[in-house]
Amino acid sequence: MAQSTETKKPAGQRWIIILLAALIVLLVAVLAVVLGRGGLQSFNDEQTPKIGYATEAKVMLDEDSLQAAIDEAMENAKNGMVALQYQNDAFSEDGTTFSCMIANAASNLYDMFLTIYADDALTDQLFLSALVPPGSGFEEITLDHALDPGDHLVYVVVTQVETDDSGTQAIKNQVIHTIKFHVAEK
Amino acid sequence: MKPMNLKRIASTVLAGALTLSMAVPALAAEKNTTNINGTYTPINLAVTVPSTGKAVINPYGLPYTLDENNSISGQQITTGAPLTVQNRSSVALSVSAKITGEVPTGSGFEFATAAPADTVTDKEGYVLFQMFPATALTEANLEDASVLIGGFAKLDDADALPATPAVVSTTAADFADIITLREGKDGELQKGGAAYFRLSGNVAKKAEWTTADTFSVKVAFSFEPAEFVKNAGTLAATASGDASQIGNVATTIKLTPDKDLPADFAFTTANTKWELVGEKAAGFTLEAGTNPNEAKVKVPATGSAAASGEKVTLKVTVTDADGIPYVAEIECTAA
Repeated sequence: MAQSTETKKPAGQRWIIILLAALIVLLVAVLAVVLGRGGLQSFNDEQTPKIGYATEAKVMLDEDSLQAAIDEAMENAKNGMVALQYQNDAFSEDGTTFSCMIANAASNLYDMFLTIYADDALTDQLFLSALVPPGSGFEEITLDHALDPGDHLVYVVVTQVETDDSGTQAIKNQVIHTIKFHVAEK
Repeated sequence: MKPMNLKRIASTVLAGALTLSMAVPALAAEKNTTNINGTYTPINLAVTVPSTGKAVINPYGLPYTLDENNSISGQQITTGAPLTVQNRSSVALSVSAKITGEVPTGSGFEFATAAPADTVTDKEGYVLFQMFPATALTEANLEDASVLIGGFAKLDDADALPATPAVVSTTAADFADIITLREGKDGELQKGGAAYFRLSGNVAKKAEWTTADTFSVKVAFSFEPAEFVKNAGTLAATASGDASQIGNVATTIKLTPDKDLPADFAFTTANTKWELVGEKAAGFTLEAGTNPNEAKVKVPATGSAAASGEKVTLKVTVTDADGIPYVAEIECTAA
């Protein structure tokens, strides 16, 4: 009786399948490690400083409280500068993938992540990056959703994150600047 | 010949005809087209901005100390610490800002459109976003608190930019080209490349303020390449001269440093350059004045003289010891 070759796989083929499966498992593990290292903890509203230059504006009704607030402001200002390095214009053929340079300047003290919004109300999120250490950055980004052909002014929120020795992350500073995104006409 | 072959030949001929008909306009277009190849060169920006600042509502204008040499009083709204924007890019940058005020839930603060009168009891605040040139700041003295704080303590509302007050409200507002920051030198901050900014303003003194009455201001900066040029002052004809009636006899035009250039600036032929600018410049003659801050303009009696009514711009560029250019212009008209 002839043996059906469709139901019985050769031993070599079986090994290939096993090796492929193992490779996939390995890749997933590597990705988990890489993404996990650069990943962001979730920050609740209390931990996140508001994006602004006058957060927690406080009423001061006596000189001692006033002076204490000023002293605190002076202290905060020492490590509150954020160096921005970017190109003012970014270009795309398809509205999704943009060539643009945005970097975490080497002079910065903290890792940073970027959130890019299409609107000044910061409601239409286009992009959220992983953490980027000082001296690194992006030459190309892919948006969550495409922009229409034409010119767009987008809002880039730069958030600096401090990670302590135990791995606990805290948001340090946030600033906003704009970039012009240009999508080629079809 | 079989019908199928005929059809093939016919379709081939038609296709060829169509191709040719499209090619002719294309060829014609090629002949009449001027190709200009332009290459966009991206500019890398390197600017430093401050993040969250602490603002203080000081209804009674109480005094406070910045350091042992500098105290401030009378500021009802203040951001306290000196905040600066610094440009280290290879190009000068014009600074614009989109500003939005926010009042959190539970706060009784209200953004006002004018300074509240002394009798107002509502918790109104007239909040202004202001920028000022931080002319003294350079890379070398940026960490020198006496320079940083000294300059900040001397800021005066009268010198604030933009000239039309940037009033903060809960509606996002754009303030374009507030100030121009000079380009960096070899990636470092040089004079003219930094600006202070602060929140200032007035609040209702008679309101019953509490610590829950707070506000925040969101600022999104935009930076655009620009030309960093200061104003040299006023150009005017001297004595009985008239820049609108330039004749064969030279008219002396003098620069008075009454704007950005210091009044006691020492003009020399090395730091002061005069030139005629415009299509009709060749029809006028420029001569040196008695002093470096003067120049003489006339219409030559012979040659390709400017016709009556034709105009030219007389421009002076003064460069100070830090290499900062100051410019002034005046229009001259042939008599």
